[in-house]
Amino acid sequence: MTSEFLGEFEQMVLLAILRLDEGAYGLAVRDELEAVAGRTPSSGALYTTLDRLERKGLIESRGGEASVERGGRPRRYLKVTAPGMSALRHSREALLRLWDSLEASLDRR
Amino acid sequence: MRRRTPPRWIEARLEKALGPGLGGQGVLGDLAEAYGRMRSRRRGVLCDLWYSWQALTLVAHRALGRGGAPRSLHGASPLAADVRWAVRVSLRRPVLTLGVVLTLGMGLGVNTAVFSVLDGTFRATSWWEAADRTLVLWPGHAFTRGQMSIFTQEATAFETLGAYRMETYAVNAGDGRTASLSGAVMTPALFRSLRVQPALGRGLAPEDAVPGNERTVVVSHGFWQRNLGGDPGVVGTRLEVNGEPRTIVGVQGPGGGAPGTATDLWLPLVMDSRDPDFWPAYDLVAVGVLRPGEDVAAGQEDLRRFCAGLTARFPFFFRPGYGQQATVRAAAEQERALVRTPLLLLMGGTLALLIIAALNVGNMLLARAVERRGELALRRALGANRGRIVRQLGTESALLALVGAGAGAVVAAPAAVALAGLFPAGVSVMRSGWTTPAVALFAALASLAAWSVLAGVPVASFLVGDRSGFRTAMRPRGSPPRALVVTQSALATVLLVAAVLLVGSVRNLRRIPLGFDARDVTAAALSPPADFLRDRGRLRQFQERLVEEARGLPGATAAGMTAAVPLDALPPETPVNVEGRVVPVGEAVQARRFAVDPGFFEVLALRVLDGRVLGSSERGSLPTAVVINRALAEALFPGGEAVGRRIAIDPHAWDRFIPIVGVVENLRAGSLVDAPGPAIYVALHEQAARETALLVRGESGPAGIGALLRNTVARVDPAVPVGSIRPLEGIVRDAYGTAWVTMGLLGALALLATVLAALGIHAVLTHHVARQRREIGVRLALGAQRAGLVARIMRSGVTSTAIGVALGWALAAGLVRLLRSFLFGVAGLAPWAFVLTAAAVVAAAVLAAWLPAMRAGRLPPAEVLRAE
Repeated sequence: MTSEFLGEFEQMVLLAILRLDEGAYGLAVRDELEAVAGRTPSSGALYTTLDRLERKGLIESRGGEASVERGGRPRRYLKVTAPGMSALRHSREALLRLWDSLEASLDRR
Repeated sequence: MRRRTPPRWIEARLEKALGPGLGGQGVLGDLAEAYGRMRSRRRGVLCDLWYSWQALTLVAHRALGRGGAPRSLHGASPLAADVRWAVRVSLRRPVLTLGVVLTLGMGLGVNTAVFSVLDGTFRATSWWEAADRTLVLWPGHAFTRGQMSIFTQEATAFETLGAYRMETYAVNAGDGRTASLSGAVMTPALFRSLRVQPALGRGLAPEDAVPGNERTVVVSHGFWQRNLGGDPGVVGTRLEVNGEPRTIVGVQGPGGGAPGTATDLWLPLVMDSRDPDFWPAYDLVAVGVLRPGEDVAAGQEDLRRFCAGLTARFPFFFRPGYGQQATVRAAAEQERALVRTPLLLLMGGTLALLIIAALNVGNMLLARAVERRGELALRRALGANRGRIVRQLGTESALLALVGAGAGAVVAAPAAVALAGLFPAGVSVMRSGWTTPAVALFAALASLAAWSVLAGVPVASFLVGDRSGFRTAMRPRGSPPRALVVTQSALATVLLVAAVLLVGSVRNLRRIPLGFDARDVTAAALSPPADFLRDRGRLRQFQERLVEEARGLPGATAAGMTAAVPLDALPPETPVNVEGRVVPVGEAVQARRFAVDPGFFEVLALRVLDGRVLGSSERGSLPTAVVINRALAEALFPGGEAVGRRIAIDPHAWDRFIPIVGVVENLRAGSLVDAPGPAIYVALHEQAARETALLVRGESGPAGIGALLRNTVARVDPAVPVGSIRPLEGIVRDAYGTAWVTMGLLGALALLATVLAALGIHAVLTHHVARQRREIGVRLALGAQRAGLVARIMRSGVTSTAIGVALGWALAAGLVRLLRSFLFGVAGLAPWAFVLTAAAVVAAAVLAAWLPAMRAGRLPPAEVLRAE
């Protein structure tokens, strides 16, 4: 299952969902990415990534409350699943191994 | 209240695209929430724009299948992957992409516009029903009614022979205001030959042309809709035309103002031999429809026989050799002859421009491909075969060409309207709609051609590089791509040569001395009702009072009146007999007979060479004094005194001599290009001309003076309708015909082409220098002279340009032959035209090469080598 590595943007989205914990839904993820990672994805990029992650089983979603300012439409709350967590861990370890011993040479350049 | 929710129609469409599930609802809710937050800080337009963009990205991602199956290297279909890649690559450099799309859009749009006008004009249905058998007969001048009646009796090759003339009419359009309309006075038989026939009532019938019955009129579909409210009961009602009530007998069907494109009225032409203008007024165009089976030669023979017959019958008027300039032309061809050359020229010019622009864009794509050569090499190394990479480059350019074509479609319609509007009145220009198969096909082919150039440049470069193994693909080569520079400078040269020739032609036209000063002169056409003719006293009083009042208008410095405005209408000819050397009428010198008032000479600033002009004392019903022009003075009295001599100008009173009181300078009356012939000026009152024009010199423009003139005429005699009011300079400009418009447009195209070619050369060399950084660095490090290096780069650019210019010259020489009939006073390609164009193109190339060459010369070798 975890043989496939996560893409950069997929990782960012998963991390943002984790950081938001219970309050993670599309717009909040977007704000989090903008505030923390300095990246403003287009709606197209963000929501297709969310759909893809859900289809891969890395996140799951549930309907939430509707409100007036949302035109009566429910929020779609997001949660990282167990396979999602392990995929993140897998990617992180791979990256850290690759980074290992390179920090010094990076500083020198 | 301000709207705080997203634009409903976009939201609805988005909802349809996203579907009803939680995923779609969540997205829509998020967007609505974000919109609301943004709306409290930003203006509504910006928020709507943002929302539209977000919706677009959502739909685009979905359409491209990104939301589909998990991404993998081999899963997606290759085409979708290529398109995705192309979109991403294009969006990575938005400014470049925008530039490409705009350049292509302008190029494709303008080309399609020119083609649609070309297609529309050449395929417009003829004005005549039997277009292939309809001829325009021209004995070297317009017909008189008298001639027409003879010709109609004698001609044998035609099943219908008729005549028409165009006039401007003042029409009471019902709401109390007077509209100025274009009308055709034509013989009923000819009316029946028109392609468009009445949809309501009837057309002009033979009984309408019986003297006394002529108070009928047929109106156009457009006029009926615009001014008569499309009332089906309009047939049988009255319409006031030039102050006379006429009965509307018919309404034409839609789709035809003919002859001309904006004819709104058709009036019967009455052949009444008692009419004083029956013989002298040369104002009719003759049109004949051949009998089935007869050919153009038979029509020509009829016209020749007619001219010979006139010479035999009226030796007084028609001397031997008359009719040598007679021509017979297919009517359809006649309708289009005026615009053929200009439109073909424009088409060629815009196509050349499109090629130049596409080459530039192709070069930009090449530069981008080279920037990406690392990426391409990686793909190749990962196993992408050559075909795959070529296909990707092709897809990328196809995407750009497609979006460019879309932009072109937006540009094309307004451009075609503007183009059609540029041509002078009287030149028949039509447009084909966008759904016309030919136009659609042209747009598609042009886009395809643009795409092939766009794709061709980077693909060819890639393939050339790949042949020697991919590692070296797109590695620096010794010289910049020559073909591109050569093609561009050749095309720019051809366009410049054409523009220079046209400028020369128009300059020659402008150099023609008109003989009068048209600046600040406004001409108002007057058509007093026919009963004025029976009361000459009233006519004279009206004319004198009107000129008097017009002189007193604010800003007016002079006013006068004439029966024929120069370059607008040609007055009839009359034979001239000199006292003391009487000749038969047929051998007498012919002169144009202008009927003018004393103010005419002042308002047009006509130069008086000898004697005086007409005065207010010449007011009897027969001419008592005459002014002649220089051409007539030289013809009659070479080297001698003209003033004081007496001439006779009435063939029916060949011995009634009147004194010449003055000689004035020649003026161009009929056309700009024909040398002015002999002319005489007689007092307006003595000729009793009904249709006249008031000329006023004054500083306010026609818009200001127009209303003043109308009011003045209404004050002097409310029964007299005012026709068109035009600045005399406008009439002169129309006489330049299409030369003026064509010069302007082609000149603009040529300038644009030169600038684009220069940009292209600049880009090619910049790119070349960038690719050769390493080599340049090595050379500099080894001690090469910077000056030599700069010279070498400049030389490579300028040499290619020079080859292009030479090629352009060769093409231009062929073009001159095609253009010759369209040029005035420009016999061929003057050496200076060659030199000028060459200088312009080479100068642009030097300028374009200078920057990249200098940049190369300033490269710090150490840094270059380290970077490599």
